[in-house]
Amino acid sequence: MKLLPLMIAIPLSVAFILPLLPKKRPRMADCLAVLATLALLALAAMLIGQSGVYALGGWRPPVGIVLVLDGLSWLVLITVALVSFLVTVFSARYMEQYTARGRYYALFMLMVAGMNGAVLTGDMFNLYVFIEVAAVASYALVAFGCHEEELEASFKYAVLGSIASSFILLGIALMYCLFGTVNMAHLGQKVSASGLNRAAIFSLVLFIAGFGLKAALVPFHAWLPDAHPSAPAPISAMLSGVLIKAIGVYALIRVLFNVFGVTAQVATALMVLGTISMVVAILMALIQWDLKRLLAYSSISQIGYVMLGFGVGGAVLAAGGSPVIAALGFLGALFHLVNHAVFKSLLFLSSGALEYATGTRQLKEMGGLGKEMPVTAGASLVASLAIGGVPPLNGFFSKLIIILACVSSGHYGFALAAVLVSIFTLAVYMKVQKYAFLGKPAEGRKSVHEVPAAMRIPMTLLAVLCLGMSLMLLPGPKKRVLDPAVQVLMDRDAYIQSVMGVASALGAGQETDMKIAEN
Amino acid sequence: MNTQQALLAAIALPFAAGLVAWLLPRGLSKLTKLLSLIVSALVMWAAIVLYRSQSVALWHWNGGGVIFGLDNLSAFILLGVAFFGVVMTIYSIGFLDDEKVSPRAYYANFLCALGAACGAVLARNMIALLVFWGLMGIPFYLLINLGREGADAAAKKTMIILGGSDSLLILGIALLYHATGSWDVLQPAVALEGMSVIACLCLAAAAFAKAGAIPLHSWAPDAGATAPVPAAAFLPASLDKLLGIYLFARISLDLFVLDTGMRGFFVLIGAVTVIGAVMAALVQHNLRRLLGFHAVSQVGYMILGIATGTAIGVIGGLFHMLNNALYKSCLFLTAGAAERRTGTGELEGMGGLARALPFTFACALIAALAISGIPPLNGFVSKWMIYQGIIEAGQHGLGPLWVIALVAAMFGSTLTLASFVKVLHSVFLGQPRSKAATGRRPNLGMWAPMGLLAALCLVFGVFAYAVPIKGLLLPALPAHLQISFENATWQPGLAALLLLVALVAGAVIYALGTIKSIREDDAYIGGETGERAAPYDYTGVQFYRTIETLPALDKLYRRAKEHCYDIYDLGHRLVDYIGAPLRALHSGLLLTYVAWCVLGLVVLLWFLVR
Repeated sequence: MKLLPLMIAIPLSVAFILPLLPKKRPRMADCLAVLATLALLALAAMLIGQSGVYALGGWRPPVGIVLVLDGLSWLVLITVALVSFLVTVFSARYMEQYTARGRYYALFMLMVAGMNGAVLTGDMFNLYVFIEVAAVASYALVAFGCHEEELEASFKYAVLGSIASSFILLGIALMYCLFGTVNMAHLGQKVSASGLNRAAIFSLVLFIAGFGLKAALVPFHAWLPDAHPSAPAPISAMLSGVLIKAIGVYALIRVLFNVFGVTAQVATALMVLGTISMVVAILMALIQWDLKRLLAYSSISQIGYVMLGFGVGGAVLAAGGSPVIAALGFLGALFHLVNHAVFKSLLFLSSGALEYATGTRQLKEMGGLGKEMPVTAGASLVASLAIGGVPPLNGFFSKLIIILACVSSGHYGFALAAVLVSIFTLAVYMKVQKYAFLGKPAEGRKSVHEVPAAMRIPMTLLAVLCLGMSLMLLPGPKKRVLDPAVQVLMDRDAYIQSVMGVASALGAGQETDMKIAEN
Repeated sequence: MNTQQALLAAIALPFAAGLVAWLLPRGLSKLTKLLSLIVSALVMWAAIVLYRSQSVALWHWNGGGVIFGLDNLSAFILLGVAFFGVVMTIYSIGFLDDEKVSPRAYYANFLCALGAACGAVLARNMIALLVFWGLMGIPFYLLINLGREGADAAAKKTMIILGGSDSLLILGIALLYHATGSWDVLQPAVALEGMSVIACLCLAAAAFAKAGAIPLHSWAPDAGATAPVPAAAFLPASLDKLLGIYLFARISLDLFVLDTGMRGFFVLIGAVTVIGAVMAALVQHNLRRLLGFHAVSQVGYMILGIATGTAIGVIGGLFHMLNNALYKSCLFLTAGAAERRTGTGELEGMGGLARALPFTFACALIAALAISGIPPLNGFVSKWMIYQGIIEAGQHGLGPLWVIALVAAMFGSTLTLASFVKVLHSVFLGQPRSKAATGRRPNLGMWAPMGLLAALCLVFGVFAYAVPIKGLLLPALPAHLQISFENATWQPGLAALLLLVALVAGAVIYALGTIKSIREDDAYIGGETGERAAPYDYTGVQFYRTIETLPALDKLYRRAKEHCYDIYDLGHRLVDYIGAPLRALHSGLLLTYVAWCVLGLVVLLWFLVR
């Protein structure tokens, strides 16, 4: 638990060291970045099963700032660490096309620091700050190529992102106005004591819109199909794979379930938002021919699944229904969130490999690449089948659980929508497979070579994960990894207790570990 | 091998062997072939052990619920799956020796498909069924991709339709679980009310898509036409039929108590499938595509039989499933031999192959007559039983629908015969048209499976009761579907004898030489000697094209050419239709996007703060 601040300190400090490295030695930047993300991955892995509260500087909550590690934040933390490690390995060769690698990694590390901070913090205002750190770094990364369309995309992203930030900031100000605190647990305590009045719901709506914009839920999604394809492929993988989840979905559910407590209406809103996102985005994905744009739309659709799962769980919880079914909804949503991070970052990396080899993102200009790029083709096929929900890959199981939760709680219409979208998703990715890898080479396409090993290895590892993560549903790993995260969402009081308990137990000037009993 | 070991071996062995086949270096393709032969034989052995044991073998997840299990129906289906696994492995070894198909990818996927099929049949747990059912799609997709030109589009279409129907299966199973609270495949039947109607329809959609019934059929002709021949004979023609009908039999016999309305609906689907697909088959000019449409048409009979719910109908339907797998895969195998000989898949490029491939011709003839329902072959017996089943169901409350179903079934049989007369003529009879008819002859690995399947068509027809019905079908069915065949009036033995006499008489007349051999002469136009051949060389294919211009049918065929009956293309159009306004909304203008966000916020406020 003493290591917890390192999750933020390492990437932050590396981010400031990187620009100081000699520009003529770009390999140094590569190595440092890979080492830093590897250290983060190792650190996150060491924290498995732990939970507790770290009071920064020994100042006790609710005044001091706390970092909170529990099942939920650990799950997102390890996902971020894993994806960012593999992405930095991929970047080492991929980014040779660009100049100023030191700055690239610096922005990258800043983004990781922002995400880790947003995931770990127990304080609303800190949440806002870390989200901004990550978001501003991502605005710059989207524009990294400095081409016309990249700058345009980055501008749109920045404007809409700032609107989201102002919603969030306004929401926080309102909450502070109403309850006089910005510590999440303390806020939760006060909200549950006084109940939700209209002003509090108003600020909740601001949070839903603000975090929903960061998470790209329809109708707040419009920046994403421009921003994600414009970024360099590894950054697209980070943005779609983890950023929208860490500073969008995670922040929303943490605030919703642990601070405000879910109501039936809010749960309905989540389900409806999720379903609209699922349906609209997959239809848009179907008619795209730009591979990365297609992937970006599909990300919106998949986030819709995640939101649907959380919404169903929340609806059951709010209606006082069976906790087993509520847990099923949360389990499906969380599992799908992690799964999506894996297969979508793999898909973006493989799109990067395709762009690296062929120089194009247009599906119609590819064709027949399966023979020339077998590893990329294999990895992309695995990811496509996983996101399409074909057993025994991980995406199948998370979709199955979400649909099961919908049906078990009597939301048949939402279940049907999830099923139909799943069919369309498969269709989208079969299209990708057909036009990119199968058939004959498109006219005028030059023959290409497979990408270098440093790019193949991360893709292969992610493909193996797509297969292996299905095992996370076996009783042992599920109990260790997924169940604690589900429990956090189920039990709001436990979260409040864990943080506020520290406040009462803590004398000033020293840190403390506090274990919450698992389950 | 005890039953539990056999159970696990049937599932795990093919997967393990598939993995090994994939990892073996390219140079060792002989070893790969040997491995797949041994493994498919072992699976066959395991299936026989399981079938003979007559016990209910179960495999539990350490201490938890039952995952795999066996009952009489699944033991019967498993036997079929394993049998075709062996036959197709032998044919593949013979057929693929000079093809441009990578043996490593082919056998790895072949074995995995076999393992997944065994797993789906043996699954006692709904989730396990779902996993193996969907898992089958992956090797199938990859196998089609190994095929000839156009395989990429066919593979995409197949995966979308089959994978999409798997999603419906998820919904169906979730609804069923919600109704019963049990994951067991052999749970007590559920009455059709409320959401279980939807569950039943979802499960049936998955079964129909796998088996290839209209309107979810359109992948089957495409896949059949482009996949490597043995894969086309193995998956769409035999395994997918066995599995689809297995699930449909489970739905109508075990999982749900079907009411008259639902039965009528299924009967209607069966009738439409029989007629619609055979009409499409009539005008095809690619041999394997034509066979693919017939495969769809035959599924209609099975659905008709099982949907009647009468004992004779159900037995007939399952018997027809077995028969269809026999003669249809036999036909695909003969098509492969003909294709290899001529180097083309188009009917017009073949012709006169009877002389070059006499054994293949004999097999194709038997199988074609069997599929057309000519006595005493197996297709006749099962179709006859299905007719009986329809009539009996008509007496027990199916309403006037039974007349339509019966007419469709019988008329469909006639059209099937018409279609196969065309095939036999244009492929094997007449004059050789292809100059390239010098391709390789079939080898032992090819004609042994063809001969075996053709012989079984004969045996299952002549000794219909003694061998398949008594030996295989009746033990597979529950007690209330057992009927006595002791007083049956159809005497296949006698019929066979009479037909044999007729054949001998025909042979004698032929031998007497009263039929003159072909006289070749110049063609005259207005007294002038014209060019020989080309315009006067009419093939059966061209003759059948006139069907497309028949007054009532021309519109239907024109629509079919516009893909109006293909759910896949309809979906494509629908997406374009809905996509256009959505695309217009994504204008790329920042102001529009900001407006959406504000609008979204306002709606949320209205909904939550109201």
